[in-house]
Amino acid sequence: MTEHHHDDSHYVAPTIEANYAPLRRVALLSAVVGTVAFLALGIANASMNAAHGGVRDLFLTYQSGFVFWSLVPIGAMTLMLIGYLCSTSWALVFRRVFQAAMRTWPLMFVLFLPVAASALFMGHDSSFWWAVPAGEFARDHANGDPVVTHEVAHRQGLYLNGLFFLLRAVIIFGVFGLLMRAMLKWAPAAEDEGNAANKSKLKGLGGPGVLVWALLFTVAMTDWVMSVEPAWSSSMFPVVAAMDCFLVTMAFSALVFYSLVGENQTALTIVKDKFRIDIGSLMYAFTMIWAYASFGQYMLIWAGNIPEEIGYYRKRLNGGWEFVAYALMAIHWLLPFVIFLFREVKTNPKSMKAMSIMLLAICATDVIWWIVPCVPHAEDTQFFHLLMAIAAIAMVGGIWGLAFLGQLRKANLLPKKDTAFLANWGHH
Amino acid sequence: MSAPTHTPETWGLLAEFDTADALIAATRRAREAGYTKMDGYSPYPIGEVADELGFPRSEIGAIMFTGGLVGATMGFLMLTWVSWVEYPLNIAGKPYFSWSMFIPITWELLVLTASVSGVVGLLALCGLPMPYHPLFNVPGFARATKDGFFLAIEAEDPRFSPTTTKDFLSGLADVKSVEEVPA
Repeated sequence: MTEHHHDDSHYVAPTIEANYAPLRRVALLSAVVGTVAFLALGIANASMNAAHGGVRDLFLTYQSGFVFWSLVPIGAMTLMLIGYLCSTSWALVFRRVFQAAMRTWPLMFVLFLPVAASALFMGHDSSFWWAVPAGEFARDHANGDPVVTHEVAHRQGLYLNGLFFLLRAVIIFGVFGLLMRAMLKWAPAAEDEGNAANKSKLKGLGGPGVLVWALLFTVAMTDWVMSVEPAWSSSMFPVVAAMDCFLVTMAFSALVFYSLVGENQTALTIVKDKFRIDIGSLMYAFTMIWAYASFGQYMLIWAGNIPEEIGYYRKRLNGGWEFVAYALMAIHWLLPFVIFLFREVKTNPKSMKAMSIMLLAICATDVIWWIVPCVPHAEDTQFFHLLMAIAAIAMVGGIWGLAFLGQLRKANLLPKKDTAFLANWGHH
Repeated sequence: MSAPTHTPETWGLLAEFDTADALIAATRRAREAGYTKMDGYSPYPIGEVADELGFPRSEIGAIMFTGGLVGATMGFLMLTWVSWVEYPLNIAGKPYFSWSMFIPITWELLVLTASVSGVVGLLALCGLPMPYHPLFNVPGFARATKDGFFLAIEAEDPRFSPTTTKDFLSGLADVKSVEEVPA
């Protein structure tokens, strides 16, 4: 054994040559085309439907763009915490992607400001029903399903009001920001110099950090997504959102990583088939839990059939949105379920890139489907609102993506010392 | 007990090594020499030996997938038959064919049949239960569960020859012993 022994303490990861220009072009294109399309569609909609929430639709569709992209830094933080806690290989492979995503958290707060403005200042043009003055709300929702009585609105108002909403958001951004800061501060000495004290601090942060995430992510998804639907609540929804959060983060990381090193033999020799299979299998697991939680929520609400709950699905299974629901069943679950069974897909960077693009697209569709159908639009304008939301996703993604890539290119794609685990795996 | 009237047919040859590295190197040499019907035995799993033996992809995935698919289909059909044909019940005015309520049982049966197929399929693929195996005729082979590393080349191998294969195994680096395995 001695002659083949690999000493991890002397390992230094090779420099990974990566070309960031193609990804930058995609982000720039997405930002420009997304912004132009969002503003053009939004202004057209606002002028055509001035009396029917045209301005509100701008905020509502923007909100789906914000929520979708906020899942990446939040997911990066959480998966990194789990990675430190359980010493996982995938968190080593995607280490730099996760770290770059976490560094964009301050920008995410800036991107949150329109959502805060919608809750605080927009009155009858707010995307949140609870921020709309009571009388006007009743008028706009006359053909909506859930019956929000004056009493319900009054009671929920203790929690769902602009200032408390803002305070909760500040706490969410603040606490997540502290967790990210701690990890980013301790990581360099731990992963590039093998500093044992920092390694144990990071591992110690993992457990409590995940608990804090679980509580605050529930608050975030309740506020930013669930509260747009009048009177609706589901304790399963944060689980559905969490699976999208992890899946979006893994798919985004795989897309970025394989786009940069998909043909780089130095990197691919280190990130062996075994690790690529693990990454694909983890994404497979997230699609399964998403399907399990989404279906469980649907089945219980369908069986219960009570007015406060059923409105959520009546809006989302009518007026054209039912096709989005079918697409979710087919592309968010059935297709990945069948395709990820094949190991050859998971080891091949090109097919993993294709799978990641498909999963990102369907997760974005899922987020749009959560948020945009909450107000009863006329049936023939639903497709228009879907397009607005897609433009918002492209716009926020482009702007955020440029900041993300600016952070990602600062460091070598693989950590100097920690990569020894990947490089020497299988030898003894 | 009477003495055997003929020498038993050979099942194959068994070489013993002291270290995992020696077994890995030996397996690689044997593969390079063109042997295919061979197997390695060690006290703990050694990934490299499996790689060098060139194991084909296991069929267990396909077996479990088929088992699960059959179970799920049967479960769904059973519930459809019970609630629609055999014993229709009006529950809260919902249709008899309320497919979404059938999914939990369908899912449970999928898991059950897939895992049962996995257990049964694994035993079948491994040829278990197997009360007799010629290797146990070699007294030292019991060390495969403690500190012995073994490479066996079977007589079925097209390249097998009692003399040249024995010379080949004896010539491997760090080989401790080479024994003939009676059938």
